[in-house]
Amino acid sequence: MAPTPADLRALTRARDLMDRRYVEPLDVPAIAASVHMSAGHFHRSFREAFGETPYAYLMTRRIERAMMLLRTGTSVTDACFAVGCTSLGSFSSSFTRLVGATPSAYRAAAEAGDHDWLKALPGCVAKTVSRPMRSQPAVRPPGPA
Amino acid sequence: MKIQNTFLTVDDHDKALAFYVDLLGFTTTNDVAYGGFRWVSIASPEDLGTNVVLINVGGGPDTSEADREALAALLAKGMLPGLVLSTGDVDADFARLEAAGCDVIQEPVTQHWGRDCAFRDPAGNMVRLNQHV
Repeated sequence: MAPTPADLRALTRARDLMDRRYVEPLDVPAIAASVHMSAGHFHRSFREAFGETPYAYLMTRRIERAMMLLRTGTSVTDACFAVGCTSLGSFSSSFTRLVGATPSAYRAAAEAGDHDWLKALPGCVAKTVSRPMRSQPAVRPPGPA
Repeated sequence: MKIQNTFLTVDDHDKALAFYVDLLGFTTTNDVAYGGFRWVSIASPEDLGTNVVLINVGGGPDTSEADREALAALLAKGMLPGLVLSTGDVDADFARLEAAGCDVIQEPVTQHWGRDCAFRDPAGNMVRLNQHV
């Protein structure tokens, strides 16, 4: 059965909470309870609504924040811990899988000015357009590849 | 030339007015109901000529049921375009809206141009509050 608008509104509320508290470890039962859903129902309906499991969504959010930190000169290690990841190895492999470049290569490209086009956008727009997507590589600036 | 009307989809006008008029302080400049649909215009008391018209999902009767369901889902998921407002005191507004139980998207943050925060309106639209220094 398709989720009702009220279900989707509750799932959006839960996703906003995850967006705000991305640094904290993910507590799916607590988030599900905050919108009055069982953990299992929350997990299934979240994936149906947003195309990712809650945990995958959290990692996408963390990598998106890490990309922002790397663009502004934060070191790879500091960016990893600042977004709530506790293992540099798994952070780097998640980052590389999502972004298509290692964290250090992404940071070096930012230093070389490859991401300067994002500076022309308001932060909330830059956040949306630079967010990596699981189905395709992260957005590239306009122009030849 | 100036902007006179722009449109924002809501699922419940009374809840929307509690948010936009009672909490944010906008003025209702028009309120029309016809055939199960309603169009309520709101404007800043500082600029009554620039209105946001709160419309039902799909706007009017000529929207198909399938399109209406699709729009209702997008609205609830926060994927329809919202509003960016300019205010004199982001922190005071944030405290008031949070205390009223509004859904927070982002706590006040200092930006290079000032300070901002963001909420969802009762329907799910993002409403961002900017304070320029």
